[in-house]
Amino acid sequence: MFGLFGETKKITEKLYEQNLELAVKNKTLSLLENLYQTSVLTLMPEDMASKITEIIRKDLNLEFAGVLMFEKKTDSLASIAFSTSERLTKTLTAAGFFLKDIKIANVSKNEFFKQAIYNKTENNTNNLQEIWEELIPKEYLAKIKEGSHIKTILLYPLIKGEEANGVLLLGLNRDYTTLNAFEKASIKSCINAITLLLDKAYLYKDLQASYEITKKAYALEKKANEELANLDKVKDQFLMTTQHNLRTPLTSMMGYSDLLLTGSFGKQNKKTTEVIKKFQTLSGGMIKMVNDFLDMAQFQLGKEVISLKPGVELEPILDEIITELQFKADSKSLSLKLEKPEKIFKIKADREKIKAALFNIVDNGIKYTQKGGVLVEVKNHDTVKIVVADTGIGIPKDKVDKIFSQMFERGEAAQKMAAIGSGVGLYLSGQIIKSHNGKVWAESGGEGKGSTFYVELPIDRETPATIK
Amino acid sequence: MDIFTQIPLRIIKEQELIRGPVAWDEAKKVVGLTIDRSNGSVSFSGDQRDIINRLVAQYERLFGRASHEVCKEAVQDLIAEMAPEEVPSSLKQEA
Repeated sequence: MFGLFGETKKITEKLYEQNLELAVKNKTLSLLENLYQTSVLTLMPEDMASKITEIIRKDLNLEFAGVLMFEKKTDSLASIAFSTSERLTKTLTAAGFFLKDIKIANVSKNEFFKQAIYNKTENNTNNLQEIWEELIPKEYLAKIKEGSHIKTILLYPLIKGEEANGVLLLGLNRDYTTLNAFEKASIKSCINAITLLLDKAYLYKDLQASYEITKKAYALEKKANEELANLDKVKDQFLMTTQHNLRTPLTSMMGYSDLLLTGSFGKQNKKTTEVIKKFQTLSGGMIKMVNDFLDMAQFQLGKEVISLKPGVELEPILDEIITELQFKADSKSLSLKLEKPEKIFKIKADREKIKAALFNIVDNGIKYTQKGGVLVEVKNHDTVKIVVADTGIGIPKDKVDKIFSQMFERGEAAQKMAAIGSGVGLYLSGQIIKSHNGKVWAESGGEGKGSTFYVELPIDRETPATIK
Repeated sequence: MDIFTQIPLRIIKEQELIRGPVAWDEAKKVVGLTIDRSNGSVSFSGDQRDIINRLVAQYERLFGRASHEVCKEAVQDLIAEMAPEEVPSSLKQEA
């Protein structure tokens, strides 16, 4: 009978121990559930840490719970949340400071924290001085210990990846040795959950910060684009004004001088007629220069200057150029010839612009040639190639590659020969030809050895060349 | 609520977590202790420390040594506030 009672008691005790284990696990689960619920409600790290410390302090019946984040740069631990029991809060208030405000400096020299941060292992102590030795006066530490009944302080690293990026500091009102295995395991489970929750919160914070940066950058970009658009409008306005104020009167002057020459205002004598012709030549030059500058400005602004149309015949354009420049060549006793092609080539072109581009090249040849002349040939391979060869001053080797790509670049010999010249003509020709999907380049044996300019333009296949 | 009335309640609730409602039934058997589960009121007739010692002994007798440790842990923060001579002997750390 007594044996049976003893056996029942043993079973009851065993059952109790198992129930105790279950109760601890149950508490842990309840705590984890509580932490999870909190994580759903908040996303900011400081807010989350504050709620976490409050929950674990209450659930585990602690005197305090604090989360401190490690700042590698300053080798310090700064608190982001500290929850303290009522009696510890009273003691700290009387002392005039809070644990949250205390930053742990020189972590690598503090044996207690060093172990958690650098060795990533937990630590515990019964001595408050080990933690706040140089930060809180001894008499205050004694008061804190007495007033809050802190017996043990536990320190757990919060590990992210390969590094501890913070610690969890727990103040117990009993000795660490009195914690049973289940309670220790329960605390460890919480640490892992807390690390994950804080990690999530920091990720969210980073994400939000980068979103804010992107938003600001986008706003800045938008503002800059608006300012650019405004600037563009101002430039357009400037170009329109220039066109109106400069080109219109010049064109009018040309018109009136034509009327003078044709006798609309009475017959002019020979001397006056010569003056008017000179006046017309100079005005024509100025109109061309203004047009060049305006076109160049349009190219610089990335505007659509060229409007390509199919079926543009090349030969009439070259004919017109030769006719217009013949007088200039004759006045310098230079030959100017066009070797006409056997086929009629058609290209996709903006007739006026391509004419201006080719005109510039031929005009340039005449301008910088003193003896001999200029020969214009049209050759055909897969493309149509216009070759303008002169017997002029040539191009220095260091300039020959840049002649179509740089403005205001004129060689010394060129400057000596022609004082007038804006330095934009060939640059503009280059831009126009590129806009026609063509190529342009120059070759020269050097100074005094003449130059050859090549222009390659794609043939308009839709309107094929015809035999004359 | 004074600490002496908090102690039995804390112990009973902790035992209830482990063994269930039987914890309340066993507490009611302790001489000198009157408890009302519905409103959580506790009253003593006799020496409070002796009654608390009897409550702890009641659980230990039934559930074994582990239950004694549970009682001590459950009230750690409360007894920290008490003068050593006031602490029931069963709840002292060395007990």
